[in-house]
Amino acid sequence: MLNWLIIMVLLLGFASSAQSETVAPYGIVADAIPKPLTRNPGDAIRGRGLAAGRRANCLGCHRMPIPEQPFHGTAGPRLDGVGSRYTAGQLRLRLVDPTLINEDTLMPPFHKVGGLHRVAPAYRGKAILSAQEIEDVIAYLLTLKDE
Amino acid sequence: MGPYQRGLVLAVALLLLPGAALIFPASAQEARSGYFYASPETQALQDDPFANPGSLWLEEGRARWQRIEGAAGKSCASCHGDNGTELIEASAAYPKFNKRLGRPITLSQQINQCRVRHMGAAALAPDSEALMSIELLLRQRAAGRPMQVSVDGPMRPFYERGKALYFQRRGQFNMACYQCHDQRPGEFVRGERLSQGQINNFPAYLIRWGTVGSAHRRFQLCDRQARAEPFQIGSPEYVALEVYVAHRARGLAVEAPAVRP
Amino acid sequence: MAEIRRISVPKQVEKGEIFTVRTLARHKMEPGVHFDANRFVVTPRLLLQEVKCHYNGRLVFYAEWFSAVSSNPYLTFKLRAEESGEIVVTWVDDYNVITTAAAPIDVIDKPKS
Ligand code: HEC
Ligand code: HEC
Ligand code: HEC
Repeated sequence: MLNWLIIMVLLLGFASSAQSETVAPYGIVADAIPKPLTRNPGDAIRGRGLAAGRRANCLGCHRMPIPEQPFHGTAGPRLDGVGSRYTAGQLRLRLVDPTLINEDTLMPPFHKVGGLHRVAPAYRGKAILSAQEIEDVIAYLLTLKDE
Repeated sequence: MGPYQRGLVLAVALLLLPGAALIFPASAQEARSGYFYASPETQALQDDPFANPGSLWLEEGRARWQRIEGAAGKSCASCHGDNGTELIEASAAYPKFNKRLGRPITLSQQINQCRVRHMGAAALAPDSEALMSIELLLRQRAAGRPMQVSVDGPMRPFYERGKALYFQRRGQFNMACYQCHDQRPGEFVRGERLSQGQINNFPAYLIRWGTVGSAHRRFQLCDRQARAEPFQIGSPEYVALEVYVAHRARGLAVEAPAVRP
Repeated sequence: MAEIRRISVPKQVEKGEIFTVRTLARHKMEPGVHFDANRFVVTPRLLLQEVKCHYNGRLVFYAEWFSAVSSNPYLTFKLRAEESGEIVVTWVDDYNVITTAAAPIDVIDKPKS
């Protein structure tokens, strides 16, 4: 039933603030954001670099097939094979703002600037990842197929 | 009772308390000191009275206890005796409501109250080595005693405020204390093994700091991990948060000098 | 107060026995590598550079330290018991400030049975 429910969220609320520049508008259909956030397709190699890096810190919580990096976290599930379990659109929503799927999630909202409390000055008004970077990470996650 | 029967009893117990188990997963969990989650190397360092670096601060604390400072010409020992025996119980019971100020204060703040009001000496800077060494000494004398912070009467609103802060998501990473320390003790965040975030061991020597620091300084570190703007050491927010977290640790033995990574 | 130095050796050992010397020094071991916006060093470098051990005046252990050594360094090493006397450990910092800790040792000559 929920699948047939179509929720359209157009984040026009941010249009008035300077922060709108950093968050691309998106529409949610069921548990996915079907449309890419950018015209340029994602780059899986750049995405892998972002996933392994400190800014997005995916390895802080997830084990991933990135063997050159030590100490993968276990606070979230293993991401091997995640490209077989989810579509690009489902991954997009899980990266942009996972609280929309699970209110209690520990996973950070990677493409969101509104509705956050006491963000440190250096990060204020900035999404963790830009629209293009979200697409890059999705392109990388889609390469993680089950054998 | 075999493991199978024990499993059944547990399953029944969980069925009886589904709401409680869902809302407060940690309440089902036994309170455990961070020592339990620390690596064997860190535990060994803490357990070795010679090598434990916190013991250097204790040594300083013992000297400071006897040192006369301020206009009144007094040392801590002048009023509280050589061993500070009557302060032992209190040292496990902070933050404590201060009637004159109408709010709870931390053990650090109480020490500075004595310096300023009773000794005529200057307050020591928050988290300074001097302040930490005296506080660590007070906590070491109380070591092994249960944490016993009161949250009744006038403490109640501060406890509630602290609880709200513990459950509030903050920072660009949008994270709250309970998500790591109630829901995931034992899991790893990168190379660090999560504990329950207890404060029975503060002030503590952190190897990353190379010094002894307060629970508030540790809160700042966790808030920064969430890319949140931390509150100040000794701020009303962190005092309230400490009231909640100290009460959450009630019954846990005071541990000093503790070593953490 | 910052300058606490500690040493521990067994009170009594047999001649020829290998024993452990344990030392602990309270020191920040400041590598001095943090710069402000104007590229001035925030906290100047201050390290314990050398550690030496003399056993009855004879140099029996020497180490050079550098910026990767942790704060409040704990160091142990082993010596062979020769005769009763004193073990003295010396730390030398970047400005040649010398600090020491010493402990007596009692060596007993027990005939082999
Ligand atoms: C602070 C911890 C944390 C960080 C950092 C984090 N995640 Fe997650 N992630 C989680 C948790 C916890 C879950 C489990 C689902 C939930 O709780 O909502 C999850 C779930 C997921 C899922 C769904 C997996 C599944 O099998 O259902 C994907 C995909 C994912 N994360 C990708 C990422 C990527 C990519 C990054 C980095 C850009 C990242 N995560 C960073 C904690 C984190
Ligand atoms: C001139 C006497 C005097 C001196 C000196 C003094 N205190 Fe106190 N102290 C008191 C009094 C009186 C109280 C009762 C509460 C108050 O007035 O703050 C007290 C309370 C305390 C408490 C709280 C006890 C409780 O039941 O909660 C602590 C802890 C404490 N002092 C520590 C110290 C330390 C550490 C020093 C040295 C830095 C020190 N005091 C120096 C008089 C003194
Ligand atoms: C992303 C996960 C995370 C969040 C959120 C978090 N912490 Fe922590 N915290 C850690 C890690 C990692 C450590 C170091 C390992 C340990 O002791 O858990 C730690 C340590 C601590 C400790 C020291 C425990 C000890 O034994 O020395 C305390 C106290 C603490 N946290 C309190 C808090 C409070 C209060 C909050 C909310 C403001 C908070 N933490 C939020 C990850 C987190």
